[in-house]
Amino acid sequence: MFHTLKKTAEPSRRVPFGHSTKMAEVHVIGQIVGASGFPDHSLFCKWGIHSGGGWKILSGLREGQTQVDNPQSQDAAYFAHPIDIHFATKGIQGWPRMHFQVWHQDAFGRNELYGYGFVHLPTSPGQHDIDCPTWRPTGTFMESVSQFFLGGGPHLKNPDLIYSGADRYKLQTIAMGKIHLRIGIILRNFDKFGIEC
Amino acid sequence: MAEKRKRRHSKEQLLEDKEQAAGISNPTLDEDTETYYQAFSQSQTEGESSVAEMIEENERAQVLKGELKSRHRRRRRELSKLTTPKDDVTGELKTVKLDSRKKLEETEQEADELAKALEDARVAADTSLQATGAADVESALPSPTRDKEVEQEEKETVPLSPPHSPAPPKTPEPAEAVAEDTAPPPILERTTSKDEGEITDRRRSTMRERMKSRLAKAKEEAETEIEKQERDERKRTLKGKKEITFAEMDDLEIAKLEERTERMRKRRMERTKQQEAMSYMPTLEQSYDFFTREWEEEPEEAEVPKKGDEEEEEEEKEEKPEAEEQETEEERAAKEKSKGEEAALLVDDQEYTEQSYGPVAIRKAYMDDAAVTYSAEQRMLFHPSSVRASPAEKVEGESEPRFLEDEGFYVGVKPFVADKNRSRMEDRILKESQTVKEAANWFGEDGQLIVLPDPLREAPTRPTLVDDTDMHAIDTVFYKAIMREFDSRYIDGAVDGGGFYQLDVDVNSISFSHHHLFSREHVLAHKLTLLQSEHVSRAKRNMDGFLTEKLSALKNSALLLHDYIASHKGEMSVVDRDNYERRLRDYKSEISQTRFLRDKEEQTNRTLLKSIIHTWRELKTLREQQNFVNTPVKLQIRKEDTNKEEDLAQWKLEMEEETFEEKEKFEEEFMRKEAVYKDQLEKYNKQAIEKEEAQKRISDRNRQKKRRGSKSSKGSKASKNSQERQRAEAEDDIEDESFEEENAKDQAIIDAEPLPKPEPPEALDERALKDQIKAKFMAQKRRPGEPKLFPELSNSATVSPSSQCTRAEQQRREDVSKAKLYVKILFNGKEVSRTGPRPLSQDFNVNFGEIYNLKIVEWPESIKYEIYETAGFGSGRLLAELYAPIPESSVTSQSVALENVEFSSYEKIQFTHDGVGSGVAFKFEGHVPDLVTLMTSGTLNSSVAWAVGDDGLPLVPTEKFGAGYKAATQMKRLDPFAAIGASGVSNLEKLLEWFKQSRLDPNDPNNKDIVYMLSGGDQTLLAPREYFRLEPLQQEFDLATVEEIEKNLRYKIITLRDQENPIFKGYQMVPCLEREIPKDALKEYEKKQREETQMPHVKGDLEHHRAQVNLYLQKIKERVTAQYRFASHQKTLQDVVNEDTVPNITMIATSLLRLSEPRRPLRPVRKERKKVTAQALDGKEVKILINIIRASYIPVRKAVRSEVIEKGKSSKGVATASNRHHSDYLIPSSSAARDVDGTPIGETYDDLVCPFVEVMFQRSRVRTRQGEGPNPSFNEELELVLKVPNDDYSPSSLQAIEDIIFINLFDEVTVDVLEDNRERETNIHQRIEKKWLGSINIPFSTVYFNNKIDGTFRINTPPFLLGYTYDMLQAQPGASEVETTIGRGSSYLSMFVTIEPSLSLPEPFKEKLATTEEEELIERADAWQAELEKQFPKRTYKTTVMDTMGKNVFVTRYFRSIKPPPEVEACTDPQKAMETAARYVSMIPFVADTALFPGQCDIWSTCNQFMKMLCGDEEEHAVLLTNYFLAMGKTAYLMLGNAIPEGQTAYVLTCDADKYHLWNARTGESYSVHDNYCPIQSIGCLINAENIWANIQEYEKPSQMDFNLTNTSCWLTFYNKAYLNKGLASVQPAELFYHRKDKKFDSMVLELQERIEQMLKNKIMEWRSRYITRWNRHCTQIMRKLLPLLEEIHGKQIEQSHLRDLEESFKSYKVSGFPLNLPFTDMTSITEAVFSTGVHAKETSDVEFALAVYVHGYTNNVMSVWVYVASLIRLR
Repeated sequence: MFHTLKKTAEPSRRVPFGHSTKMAEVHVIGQIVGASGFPDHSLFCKWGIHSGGGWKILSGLREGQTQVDNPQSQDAAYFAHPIDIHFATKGIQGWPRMHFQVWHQDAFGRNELYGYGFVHLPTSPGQHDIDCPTWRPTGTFMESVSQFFLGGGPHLKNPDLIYSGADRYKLQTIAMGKIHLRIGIILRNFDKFGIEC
Repeated sequence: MAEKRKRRHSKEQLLEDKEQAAGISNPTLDEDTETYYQAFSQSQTEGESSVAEMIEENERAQVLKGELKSRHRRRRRELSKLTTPKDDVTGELKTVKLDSRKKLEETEQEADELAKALEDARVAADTSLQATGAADVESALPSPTRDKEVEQEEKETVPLSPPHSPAPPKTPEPAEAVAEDTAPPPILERTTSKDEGEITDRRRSTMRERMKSRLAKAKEEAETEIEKQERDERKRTLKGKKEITFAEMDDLEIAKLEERTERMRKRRMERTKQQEAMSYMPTLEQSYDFFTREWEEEPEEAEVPKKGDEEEEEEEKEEKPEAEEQETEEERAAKEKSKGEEAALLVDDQEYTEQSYGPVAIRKAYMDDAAVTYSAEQRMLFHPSSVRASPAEKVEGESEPRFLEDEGFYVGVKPFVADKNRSRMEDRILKESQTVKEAANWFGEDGQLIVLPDPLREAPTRPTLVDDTDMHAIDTVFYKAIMREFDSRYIDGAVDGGGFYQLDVDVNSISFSHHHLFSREHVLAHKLTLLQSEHVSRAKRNMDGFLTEKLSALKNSALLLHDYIASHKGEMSVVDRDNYERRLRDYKSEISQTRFLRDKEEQTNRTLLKSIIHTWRELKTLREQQNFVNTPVKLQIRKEDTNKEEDLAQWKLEMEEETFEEKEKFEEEFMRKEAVYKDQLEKYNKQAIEKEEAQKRISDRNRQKKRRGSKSSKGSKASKNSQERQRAEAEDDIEDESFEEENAKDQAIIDAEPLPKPEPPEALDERALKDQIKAKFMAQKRRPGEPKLFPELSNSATVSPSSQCTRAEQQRREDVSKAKLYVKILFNGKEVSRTGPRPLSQDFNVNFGEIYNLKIVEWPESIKYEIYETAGFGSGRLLAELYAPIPESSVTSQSVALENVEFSSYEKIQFTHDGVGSGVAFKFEGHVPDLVTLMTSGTLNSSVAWAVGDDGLPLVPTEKFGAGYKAATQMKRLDPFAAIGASGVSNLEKLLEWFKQSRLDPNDPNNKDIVYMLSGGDQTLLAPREYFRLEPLQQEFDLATVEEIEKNLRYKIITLRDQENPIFKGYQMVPCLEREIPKDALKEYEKKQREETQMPHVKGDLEHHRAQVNLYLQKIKERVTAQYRFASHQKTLQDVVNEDTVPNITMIATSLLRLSEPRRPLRPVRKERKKVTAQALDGKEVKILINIIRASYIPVRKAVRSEVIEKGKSSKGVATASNRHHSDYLIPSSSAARDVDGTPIGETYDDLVCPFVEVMFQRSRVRTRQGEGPNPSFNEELELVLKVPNDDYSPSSLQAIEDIIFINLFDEVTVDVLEDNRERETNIHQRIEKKWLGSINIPFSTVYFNNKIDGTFRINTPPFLLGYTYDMLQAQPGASEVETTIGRGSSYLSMFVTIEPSLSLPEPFKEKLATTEEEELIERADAWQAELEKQFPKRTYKTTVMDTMGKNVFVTRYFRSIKPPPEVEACTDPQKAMETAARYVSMIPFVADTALFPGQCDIWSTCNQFMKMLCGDEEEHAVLLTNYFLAMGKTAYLMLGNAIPEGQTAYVLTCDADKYHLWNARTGESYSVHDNYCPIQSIGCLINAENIWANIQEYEKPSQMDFNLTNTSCWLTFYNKAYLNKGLASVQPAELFYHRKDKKFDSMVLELQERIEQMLKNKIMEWRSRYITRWNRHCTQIMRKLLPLLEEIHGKQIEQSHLRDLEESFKSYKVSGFPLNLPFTDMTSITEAVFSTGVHAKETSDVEFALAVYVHGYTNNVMSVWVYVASLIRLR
């Protein structure tokens, strides 16, 4: 399946430079290992990959949701949720980034938002262990009271803000836990364009 | 402070470095220091040693110090390269110096104090002087020592270090610090400073002179200053040093001191002078420091020596060294003396200075005398004056200051600097410029400092950082904890999902155009109002006026043109003339057209007017009749008198004009007609003449003939000249013949249809024309003199009060006032709000004027209004339902306009009172005789729009209609005009083109807008937009273009694989290099794409239809696939985790118990096989195992044929063996078998068969060995390998396999082909033939889903098999009637089919589907079903099914009686009708849902969809049949259950006089419920429109069940007393549309029939390409006759008598053949079916074939195809 790796190993057999079919590809394979540091377990995580306009997904899912994990004895929730996405790209602008929403499922089966977060995918090939810190917006006092007793909580009206907001600094947030990722990046043909990774 | 810190730091460093740099530092140096220290400390510790001693010691110390210094200098030079050690060393040295210096100071101080004490005692003036001296000593002290000690250093440091030592005791410290600071700088700097030093030396010599004089001056100054300060000084000393004991001081000492101070002062002055001198040699550093440090050094005095003469310098030169010498010695002495005196007091100090040991001494903080400091500062520092210098001073040289600004030049605004600061700066520069010339360049021509204009802009250019507190992007919304998610109904996936979407429904008013409570008067009044409004609108439009004007304009132009042509006729060229004439013709035609239009308009106007008046009159009479007024309507007609004369003239003129035109037109026409007439007349005359002539000729000839006849008779009588006569006769004969011919010809001419006599065109009847026009004018024009009428309607009539009305009217009015209306608003079928009941006004309007805000969370599907009428109590009656369109996203509540929606009700209401009712015919009592029937109708004035939020944004869900919609909305935002084009409203360019082509009347007010837009200034809109897009450098960084990525083959394949495109699904490896991908990899895909997008080209209407159906199917398939793609990816735990269950105690116990059980090898227990997932399968083969156990009731060969064979054989004179033996050759095994049985062999062997079973799957075949007799047992296991596309064994791809397992039963016949009987004894030459007896087809999906198929199946046998018969003896005599019938018609096969290994099934689709059903119903359905399934997990229960839209629909909605096709209705016999219906349904092709819709979803299409698609699976067939049966008045239910071989299936259950029958809708067969061979294995539930009955009986086999549906212990109903059936509306259509079978249809069927026949013939020849294929025509003929017969009896057993015919005529043949019946789908399926029977497989040339095809066309293109194939072998 992953000829890509093999390919880089034997550079001598490359098609001569200038062959138009060489195009940069990025293969992201990995998993959302889990999440830790949240006030409670019983978490699940919605994730998505956002990339620039020049990026085309050849295969794989752009977004997804993990199961709810509620470990009895540990402080972290483990998802081991696979991520496998294959990009072809027009340029390096808009390098893909992952955004997350961590949700908490309470004893009544209700879901409430626990945090937003985003990370850029690494640009260097190989395996990376990434921690994605998360935050959630604080509401008004009344909201936090209601949240304390009844659950729920303030959401972003515009979830794009997670990864695109220049105005994010104005948000009042509370730091939540971290999402742990183990991401392997396979790059292909970037060296053809003089991009060293 | 900083300096101190530095020093301390350096000290610490020193200590460390000493050790550290041990290698570098000279040990001798250390020793020296040691010794020096020791010496020094000794001298200190000695305590009260004399001053002399001290001096001595000091001297020694000085010497030592000098030595050290020189050494140190040496070392430093050595180490000059190593900066840090050098640093350290210097640091070290400095500490030493410092210590010694401190000592000195202390001694001096002591001396001072002594001196002071002395002087205190004496004269105040003296003291003061001495104090100053002391002070001077203090301040000057360090300098000489330093001069001596660190001369080298001084050279570097002095020019740099400012003597800013404010307090004398502190002086050394800063100097030191500076030295420290400066010491580190790199060598380069030092070398420069050395050079510098040299230069200074030279200068110094000249400067000395100056110094001297300066010294004197300074002395004076100092004295005066000191005098000023003396008082303070004294006070301070007195206070601060009281503890000092004042000793007597002798005069000598005083003198000494004085002297010394004098010298000290001198020295100091000298030094400053030196420094000053040096300071005027600016180096790099100096110039840098110019503004910072050195500046202060420039004292005013500096000018003095400069001005002095050079002689003084000379003097000083000599003086100085001497003075120095003296001073130092004296000083030292004084110091030592004072030290000695004070030493005792300052023991602690010693230790403090040692620093390394001893207790810490507490000292008072040094307090500097501010005045002293100030004066010192004043002396040393330069304060530039802040007084403004005059510009003249600043201007260079002689030139006058010049003010550019005054001269008119632009001078930039200079940055603001405070005047004070600027003046200071200027002052400084001016001072500077006196010494350094260049400094003058600082000033400009205007005497101002040269300053660049203020670079700051007045207005800030940086965008202000908006403090946007109202930023919406970062807004947060509070959500409650979400319970459920993911429902496609919801816009945001959940009930309280993200956004706010709101629809505003405005229900304004209802006005009735007819209401059942209308009185007759109301009806008329309404009519009048309508007419009047029509009239008003027409008047407003004024079409007739417009047309009249147009007409006159046209006439004018035509006239002009005509004149023009007339006048220029001679000059014009031919082309021009043609052109003009055409134009003229155009004009004329337009004139006539316009006139026609105008006439029509006028006529309508007039009739309208007439009817208004008429209605009004009626109304009036009605009012009169009833004696009261009901409506306020009142018509007034305004008359406008006209001049009769004028009118008449006008009238006449117009009439004349028209007449003229008509005449002209007529003339033209006449001319044309006349030409035609003439032509025709000519022809006619010609024909007449010809006819006459022909007639003549014929008569001539006849006469001639007669004559000749008489002549010949005469001749015979005369009998002479016989020869001639003969000749003449011959001639006659010839002539006769030619006569005949000519006669015929002429006759033809005569017989030719006489041309109609052409009518000459009528001449113009001017009178008639005039009359006609006049009549027209009369009809539609205002008569001359008739006043113009303007009807005016008002509501001014007074309605008579109720009391004046009749009783009936009173009642009516009461009813009206009671009537109230309200409107329910239903969103997606649910009531969301309703208006309050509003009274119906007497003029039948209802005003609501209410806006309902619907906050929605679901996608809007329908918005419905229900108008209810209530009489004040109860919920009222539903008047009408009407739907509002769902607004487009651009329609917001701000932009929407109210719309009138018309509605009407079909309800019949009749009243006893005056109300006319609705839907009831009534009559006006007046002179209107005809009956009128009016339905309640009216208009609802309402609107629906998207609400607009507080922020002005519409509350519209964005992704409403998928991606395209989104794009459009986005575009709309960018460019409104582009959006218009995008949504397809108009294409302006095309519009323009059209506008140019069509000669649109620009004067027509209707065209006003478009004309303006297209010809006016708005042309710019048409121009292409020249966009400028800012995306700088984007392309530079592109690695590839989008097109490249799109085009890349590899990417395409990867993407398609990911999208699970059927072709690429499960495609395992995509090569990593593109060149490794075969170029045609996408060929198949592209071909398929093409097929999908465009209709395949097929011949024939029928096939075309099929192709269309396929296309439609494809679309549905795609939709469903898309919907389920996501669901199919949902993995269960078992898919991922594959682990064995941990055995629990019970399992262990049972397995232990099993050990003790007796072994019963003869009763093996079937073990449950483990399911294998696709992953676990990996590389293993999947096999289909078919275990054929036995077959029964197989037809046997007919004896007749073998007799024939016998005869044939015997006729050939075979004398060898007996019949029996001979037959043995043919069927060798059978005889043996029969022998054993002991039955007489000779009688029965012929009846035997040798059947075998052949299984074909995916074109590979396996077969059993041949069995014996009609009831053979095989007990054989057959294996077939399952081939899966792309080796993808995942459930989704497995269930998509459409292959069918064909199980065919053949008879193996051995044919002896030995030609020569003589060889019979030695040779065997036989041929094995297989004869098809029947087949079972099992789709693979059935096996897959059921995992195993086990049982006895009926073999599908043809209605008759030539050469075979059923062995009657087989049927047991004691068997029931049912059994015997079975035995007669069908054969059975017992078998077991399974897949090895057992494959895992796809998880049944569990996700909750969207539904439009009521929540309550769905809930109950789910609960009901779950309860039943818990109880009977194996039975099939269904409450909701999915329709083609992917929505859940309650199953009873699928039932509704539907009129069966005409064929069925034609049947009179009810039984026959049912059969026909079943037959019809069974002829609709079958396609399994699983094949159709991958994913285990069962989609129920409605009957019309089913008919449209013409294919479906069991449910569709069964539902349709049920609906037909219902329409036929039968009690019918849909039965869901399990049957073999289909598995889960649907049958139809009918109940007829307590006899229950099950119908297989797919095959059209019916079974009695008591039938043992009924394929139904279990019944789950029965469904029809009324209810669902679930089987809760113990048994599930139909034969064991109780079908009394009312028995609640047997059948559980869905609806019961507690939950009543509300009567859900059916999803089925009220009726199906059946095409009429006409001639065209018949011809189509015939054509199809011929095409199939032709194709099959070709195919058979193709299959047998090795041999010659001959066709037996005769046989085909007989078959053709047979086939329609078969169709008629629906393929049942045919009477033997029919076959006899066939058999009789083919006695000399061995005939084998059978009819095949199948529904028509396409050609290939027919060929497949024929091929699978293997009829063609007769490997010999001496065989003949017969093929007959019969297509029976049922309504709606349902076709039953019969194919009869037979092979005939002539018997020898």
